[in-house]
Amino acid sequence: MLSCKEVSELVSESLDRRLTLRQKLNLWMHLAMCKLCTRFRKDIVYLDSQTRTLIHEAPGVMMDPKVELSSEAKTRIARKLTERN
Amino acid sequence: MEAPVEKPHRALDPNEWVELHGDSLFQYAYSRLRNSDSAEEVVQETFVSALKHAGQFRGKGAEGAWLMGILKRKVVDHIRKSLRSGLQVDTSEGTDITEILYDEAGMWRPEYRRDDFRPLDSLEKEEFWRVLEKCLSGLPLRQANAFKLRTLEEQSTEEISKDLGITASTVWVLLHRARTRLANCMRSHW
Ligand SMILES: [Zn+2]
Repeated sequence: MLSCKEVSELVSESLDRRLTLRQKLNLWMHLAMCKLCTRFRKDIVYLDSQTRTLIHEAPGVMMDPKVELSSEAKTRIARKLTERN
Repeated sequence: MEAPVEKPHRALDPNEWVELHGDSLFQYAYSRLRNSDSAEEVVQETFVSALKHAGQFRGKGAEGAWLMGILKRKVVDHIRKSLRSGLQVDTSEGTDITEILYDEAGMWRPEYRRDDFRPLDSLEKEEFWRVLEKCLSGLPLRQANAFKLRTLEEQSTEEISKDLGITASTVWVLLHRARTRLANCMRSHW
């Protein structure tokens, strides 16, 4: 029987690799009986899928339109480009 | 209607370029890196690299998208680099979150057995981002970077582990801790 800690590891790893059949069975057996781990799994899976969905829906979702490249940085970069040209 | 004419290759004006695209590139870089210096550095690298490969670029309309494509790769490179250098300094790891949540037998500690947690999927979209960003910034750096590469930049764990010269299971551990911390943090910030 897996502990809750081991289950949480498998839940996370299931997002990154294919679990073995035995691991899957152990996982599902535990989840069927453990409300806390089921809740953990739901949250972790949602965290992963919702982050990916939102990034695809709006790649700029984390962008702040008020943020600007400083004029010093602009001058510096333009100068660097002119040197290289 | 006029047929579109293939324009001869225009001489690039760096000043105009930076003026035109600098802000939007910087906004993207800053949104992913959350650090002005790093974001400036990456934007500069992008322009330099774009200039070097200016021959591949066609048409003015596509300029922004083309630069953004280069920038995205530079951002991933930057996160990788900082993840790699973070490997030598292993002090920022913080307390192992799993030691807080579970007891010695690996069972949930009593304080996490409460029933009144709101599930993550009850967060509205905007709220989800606001809280995710806040919680990401509180994560140990390696865990934050591993999560960003995997989930925001959609790298495979194989890519991350090969690139960093660490085993896949180390990557899994980093991701497991990152996700656990994030979920835990996001549940308590409304
Ligand atoms: Zn459990």
